[in-house]
Amino acid sequence: MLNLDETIEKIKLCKHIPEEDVEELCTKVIELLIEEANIQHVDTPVTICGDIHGQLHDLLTLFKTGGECPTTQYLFLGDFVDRGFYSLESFLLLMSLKVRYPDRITLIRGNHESRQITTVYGFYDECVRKYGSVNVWRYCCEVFDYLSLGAIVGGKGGVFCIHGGLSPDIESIDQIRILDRKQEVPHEGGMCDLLWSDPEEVSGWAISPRGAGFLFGENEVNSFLHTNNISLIARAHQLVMEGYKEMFNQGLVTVWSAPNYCYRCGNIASVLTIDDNLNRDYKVFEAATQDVSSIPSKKPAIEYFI
Amino acid sequence: MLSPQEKKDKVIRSTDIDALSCRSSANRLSYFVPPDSYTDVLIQSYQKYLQYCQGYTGLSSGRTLRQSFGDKKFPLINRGTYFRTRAIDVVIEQFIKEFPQSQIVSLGGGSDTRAYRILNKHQLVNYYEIDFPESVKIKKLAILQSDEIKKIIDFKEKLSVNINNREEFDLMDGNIHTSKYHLIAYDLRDLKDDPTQFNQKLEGFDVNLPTLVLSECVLCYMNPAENTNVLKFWKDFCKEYVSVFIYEPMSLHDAFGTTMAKNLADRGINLLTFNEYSDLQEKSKYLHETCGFQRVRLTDLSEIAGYGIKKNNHKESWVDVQEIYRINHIELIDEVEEIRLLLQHYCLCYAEYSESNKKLVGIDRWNWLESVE
Repeated sequence: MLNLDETIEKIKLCKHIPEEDVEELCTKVIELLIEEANIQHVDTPVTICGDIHGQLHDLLTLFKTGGECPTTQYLFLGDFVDRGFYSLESFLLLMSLKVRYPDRITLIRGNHESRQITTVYGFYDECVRKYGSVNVWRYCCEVFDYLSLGAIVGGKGGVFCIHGGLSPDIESIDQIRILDRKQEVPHEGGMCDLLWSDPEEVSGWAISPRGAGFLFGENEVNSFLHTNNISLIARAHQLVMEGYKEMFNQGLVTVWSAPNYCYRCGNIASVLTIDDNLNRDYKVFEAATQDVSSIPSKKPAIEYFI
Repeated sequence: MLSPQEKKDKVIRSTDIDALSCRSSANRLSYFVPPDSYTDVLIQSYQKYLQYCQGYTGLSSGRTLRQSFGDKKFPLINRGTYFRTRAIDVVIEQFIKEFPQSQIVSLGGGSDTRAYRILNKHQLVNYYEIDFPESVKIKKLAILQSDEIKKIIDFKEKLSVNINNREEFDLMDGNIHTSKYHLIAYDLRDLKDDPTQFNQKLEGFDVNLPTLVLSECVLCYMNPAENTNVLKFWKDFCKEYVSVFIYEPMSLHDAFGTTMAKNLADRGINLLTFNEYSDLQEKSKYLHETCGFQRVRLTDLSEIAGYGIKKNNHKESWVDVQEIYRINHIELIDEVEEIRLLLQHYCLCYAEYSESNKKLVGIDRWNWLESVE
């Protein structure tokens, strides 16, 4: 039987979690997520976090910066896994907290919570390396399919939270509510765009250099805010050197929570707290350690062109 | 016991394996059209002979190769590898177009296969590759395995080489000289002591022919004085007309650059001009004022790959829109800002010198972020 508090402490120390415990944890999370809507309603105050990308030590710093869960309520905007060296531990920690304090933490899906992307960007390889089989990766991918697509913080006039951005196929939040989300992230269409798109200084919709989703401009943001009676779009998905970046007359913000992304980018990270009056408070933090000794030995080298 | 310098040189030589593994990865995923059929020959040579090299890495040869070629490369590395190769290709093609009878000198090219692609296409080009003695031997052994490459470089000798241990590898002569291709074992840092000895190695070299000197991540491992020695050597040696084309990292004195220097230093790689000439302006000034080149053009790889901020719509794009679309759809890129940052820290520098007013007119087909006339 899974002892959650013990497991949480073990994960924080990066200790091996038995495969049966992972399986049980995933099953329990799915039982919770299956009850959640495509767009979750989240009360204030809440602290919104961007991409984590397997940087476990930085995730621990994030909790120190924003306050421990459950004292602080959290909303994570996806991209828990891939790129960093501790994707599994980071995701296990978030799932454990979800099972332990279901009302104090909300997890929504990022574009990396996908079978296809995790086989390219590291999570698959990490699971196979750590367990010698694909089982753990499969359990986690099953969880990915149940994650909500977005959230609304603070009800009417509040904050719409999504991993990527807007879609030309989606004008109102109600259209997201009726999507069938329990599937692998598709290559195109509304669900794909919500997880892949980026804001940009463009007029209308433009092709994204990522190869999926779209670029959308200020007009699209303004019309989405107006149509859906919200005051802000909070999203993640894009590295911001300063940790966060407001755009379009403060109608949209990018929150990025992976400091020194990929142990390479030299950026700082942030979390955004929305209080009961919908005021925004950004807290920034730096990488937990620049020390390579925290990088496991069996890992891919940090790649440059040399 | 290896001296500290020998240890550093080992790491520098091993960067070639890294570069080869990147090229191989991009090639496997069909970034290059037509595919690069020579890369596998070089990989096979490493697989067979790296074990007999004294100076590559601290790990066993098997482990080194498994680590380099076994791990998948991230899409941004594949894309970067493609754009770097492509940008250098188009400039070289332009050079050959304007100067069909010319010489290309590749400094420290390791297992790069560009020479064979170019010689296969252009009959009048004379190609020189200069590298560490050990790197040159690996390459020669690869060439001897490939009838296709032998034909391309006009290698006629009936030479069968049988290398089965370190001693035989040690004693092997790595040099090749044919009518159009020269593989030369030489440590370019020795130029400071004996430029005349080096001249003698350049068999068949015509100082009056237009010459393009290429450095892809090579000069960056030499100190500033050695950089100047090498560049000035070529400038003084080929007074009639010489161009240098340099691809290398630069720090930009920002957080990404600082982290990069630290991460590479942790792998034993010291970039000796990274902070010295840290951005396009400083590099431009260095090439023009310190080295004395006349026309200088510089840009960075993010600009070439279409991630740049500055746009100049009057110029031809480095890679046409359809091709960029094809490249962007081979693999999904998960973080545009990251690839932009990475590519911004790699520059392409073109500089030329001529005592008879020759110049590469077509260099201004493309947009450059910095230029000196």
